[in-house]
Amino acid sequence: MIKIVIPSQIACNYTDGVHELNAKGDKLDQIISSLDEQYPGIKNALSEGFACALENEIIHDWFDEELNNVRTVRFIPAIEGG
Amino acid sequence: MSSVRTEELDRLNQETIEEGNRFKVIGTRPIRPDGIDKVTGKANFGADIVLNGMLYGAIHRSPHAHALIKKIDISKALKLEGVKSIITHSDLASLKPTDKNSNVNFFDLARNVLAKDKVLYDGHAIVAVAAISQSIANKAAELIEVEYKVLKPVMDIKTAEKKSSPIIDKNIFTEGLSEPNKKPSNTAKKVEFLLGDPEKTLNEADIVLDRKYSTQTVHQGYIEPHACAASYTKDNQATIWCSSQGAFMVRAYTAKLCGLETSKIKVIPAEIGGGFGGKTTIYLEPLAVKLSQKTGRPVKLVMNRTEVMRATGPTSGGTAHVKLGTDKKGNFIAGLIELKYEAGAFAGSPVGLGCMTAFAPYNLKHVKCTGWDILVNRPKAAAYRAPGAPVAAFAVESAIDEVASILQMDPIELRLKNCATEGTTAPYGVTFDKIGHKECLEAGFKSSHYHKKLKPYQGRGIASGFWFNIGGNSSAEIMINEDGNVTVATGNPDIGGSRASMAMMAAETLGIGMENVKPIVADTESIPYSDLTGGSRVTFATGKAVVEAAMDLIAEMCRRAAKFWKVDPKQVEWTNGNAICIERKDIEPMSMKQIAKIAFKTGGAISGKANINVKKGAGPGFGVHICDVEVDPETGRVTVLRYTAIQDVGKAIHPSYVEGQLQGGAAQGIGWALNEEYVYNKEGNLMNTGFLDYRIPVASDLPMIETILVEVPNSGHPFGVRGVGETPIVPPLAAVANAVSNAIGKRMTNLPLNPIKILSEIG
Amino acid sequence: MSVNGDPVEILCETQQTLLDCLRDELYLTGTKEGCSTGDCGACSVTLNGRLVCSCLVLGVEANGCDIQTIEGIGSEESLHPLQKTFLEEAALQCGVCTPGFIVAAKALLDEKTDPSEEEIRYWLAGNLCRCTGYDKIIKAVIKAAKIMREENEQRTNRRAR
Ligand code: FES
Ligand code: FES
Repeated sequence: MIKIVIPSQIACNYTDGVHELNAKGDKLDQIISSLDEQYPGIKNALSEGFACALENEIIHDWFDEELNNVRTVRFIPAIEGG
Repeated sequence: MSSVRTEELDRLNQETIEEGNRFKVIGTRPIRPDGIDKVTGKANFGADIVLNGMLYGAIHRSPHAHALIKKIDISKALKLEGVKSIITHSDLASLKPTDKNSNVNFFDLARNVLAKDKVLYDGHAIVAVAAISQSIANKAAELIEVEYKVLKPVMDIKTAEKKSSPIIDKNIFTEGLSEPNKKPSNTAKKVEFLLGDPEKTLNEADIVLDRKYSTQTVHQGYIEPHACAASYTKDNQATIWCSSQGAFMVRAYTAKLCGLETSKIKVIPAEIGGGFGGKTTIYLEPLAVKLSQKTGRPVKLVMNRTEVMRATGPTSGGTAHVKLGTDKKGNFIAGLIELKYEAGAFAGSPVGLGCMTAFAPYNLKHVKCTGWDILVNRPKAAAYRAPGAPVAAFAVESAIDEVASILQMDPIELRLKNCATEGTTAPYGVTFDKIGHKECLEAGFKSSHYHKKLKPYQGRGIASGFWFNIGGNSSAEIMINEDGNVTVATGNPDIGGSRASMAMMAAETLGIGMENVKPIVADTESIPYSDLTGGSRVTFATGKAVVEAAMDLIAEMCRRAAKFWKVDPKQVEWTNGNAICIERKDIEPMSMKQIAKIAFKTGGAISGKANINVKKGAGPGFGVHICDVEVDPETGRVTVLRYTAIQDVGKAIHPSYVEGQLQGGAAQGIGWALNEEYVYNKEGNLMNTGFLDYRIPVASDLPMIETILVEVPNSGHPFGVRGVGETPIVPPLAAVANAVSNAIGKRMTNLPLNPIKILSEIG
Repeated sequence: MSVNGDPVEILCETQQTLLDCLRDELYLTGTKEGCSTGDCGACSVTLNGRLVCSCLVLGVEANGCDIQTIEGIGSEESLHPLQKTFLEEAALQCGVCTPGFIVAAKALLDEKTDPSEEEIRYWLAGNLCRCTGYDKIIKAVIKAAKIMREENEQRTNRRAR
């Protein structure tokens, strides 16, 4: 089981305020698609403006990243720079 | 990308890290390739462009901070001889609030470049004119008459939050609340990051430091005002010449606002005279395109300094409330921070990034960071170096300094005790690989600066800073010219010497001299898409693209040599700038010059390319700054006596320009801490619109800024590079404030620390 | 007037500044505009040998004067010592302030061959640079002063011999 932590804006719009979700899968897009079945629209919402933190990396433009050894996937605001 | 190249990169990377300084070009300090043009005045910046038949533009701006536009009368201006066209918001593409992508809300952007129905800050653009000369254009802009219904301005966070205050944008309903807001609000968003159970743990702490801090709106202060020229031709194509931090950004944003397909616009990047994040968005380009479309002639638009200050990218002022709990020995147990940042007139301050960076340099198991994005009638905040981080770091690092003095502990020791290292999970959810915070603190502790004795009214402050660093999309192409020299093209404007570092990385990889490499910044039609120059990503990500393009080129050169020698390509290797046939000693190695000569015979011109999205491996940056100040008790004036900036830079490609980033960031941070602030009157008019009273540090304000480059190589880059541009502006606010506080024995929590504030404290 | 030794004649509007004339009429765009209020020094030129902000001088005031701009200082083939040391010391990042700094620093070194760090800092206090924190600029000027002194000495020695 992988823990998925979503930002509060998304939580209040899609999951009744629940921040931490669980899902199974080997690839990032797989588990987000499975979440989308449960919470329709969440995949699109997370695709806009959010990066995701996979253990030691922040991934922008996330897609089918492998989730071997990943316990927590945390969606965070996309990082812009100066 | 073939797997061979990846393996090759990994090998290179491994060797780099194991063998340390084995480079020929990297780590040296050659003269930058674009240098001569820049010291002789030949380099063309945005405002230097002249086109045949060119018209000049000017903008009519709002004198009010908050008002409804009742009527715009352009008739007098139109009658002025020499005026060719006038546009307003309705000339732009019509957009909806839902027209946004992950980076930008185009509905807001369009309303920012030309106000729609309502002006939201002093200096908000309303009408743009084009005329045959600058003076006629200026006169026409003055002749525009706008009728307003003036509203009460909302100038600060406190007012914005009051229920009775006017609402700036009726489309804004606070996002991120557990109970969704039914009414529009000036608070656009709440963000929260939570690790463990900080509230409970805080109760168990021996020491709890609870303090509030505030900072003011400041401007990036680039010396070159925004400028662009655009030419729209009959076949519905537009060309834009401008200085920006990203030609592809300008193209995408302008296309959207003008209702054009992206590919119909070509953006030719001019040299850029500073940006620091402020040129990661657009202001003038769509206006120039539309004016050119209407007149059929090229149009140039250049801002003056007043316009830059009133209407372009400041960064958010904000407040911070910190609670830091430690045990008796100084171990950090829990940290909480609540940040409120001014967004300006449109949603989108960097408060989320402030939350994410606040406690990132430390190993804390229980953290809560809450951020509020708040609208005020000030210009829309734009990125400024490490967006969001400096204000948060100012608060946290000040709090740590105070805890150190309560514990009577050395402030570096306290930080060392708690600093994040490999394996620490940051509050935003990432577990760090190898990072250099500890190494920077140790270097600071060892420095001679740190042990110099101080006199009365002198004080020393230290502070750490963190920035994520990012990767992203980068493209590079390397072409061999007929003479055997190469041209390296990338899509990233050179804002501080990146041509030099690109050329150096190419030269190193190819095994040739810097003098054989010509780096260029290509336009949007000559190189595939590249993300902005910003976020400390270019040397890292575009550098990686250059190295991969060089690898690609090497592979092709080896194939050509094999073809020429009639041997199996597997037998050809690239060593020290030559193709070598491994098995056959009788075959003379071939240099690039020779390969250039056989190019046509063996299949045609030769180039290598790489178009990559670097998703991983950016390698976070940490820095530690040490600042000594002297406070004049009579006048309250602060003099910076000595300053040292220490940073983990991974691997410095061109050490001089890396030092320059540290020095420049430190100077900007010193200005932020001591002098700079937007000053508004009651009506919401900006009072200091020029460099005379918006005072950025000048040469006589500063000492030499010493630098210590710590090199903890980043395993995510073939040469170990970490981004360096953002981190150096994170520590100075607190480093200066801590120094001043220690000098006068009073804790200074509100920036800027101008003489008035200091005198009232020591009074 | 004369610009970088060349006689030039231009027509300008009365409100046009010398900076406008140089940039818009003579296309000498090496002189930059950062503020147009005399606060940033990007527009530095010399007028009859005196350092001025060209944004504060009217075009008509320059009538009959001798103007020197960045374009008149050194050339690609023979750079002025300041231009060389600015490059060697990496005293520029974006480079938009650089012409102004070089013109201003040259005016200083023409007057004073061995200025102290403090004198350089105060002389250049009218020139803003947002990128470098001034450190490398000051070092470049100190180094150029030294080179110029040595060159001078050699010249005098040669003459003496
Ligand atoms: S443009 Fe003349 S001093 Fe700034
Ligand atoms: S180098 Fe950019 S302003 Fe000086």
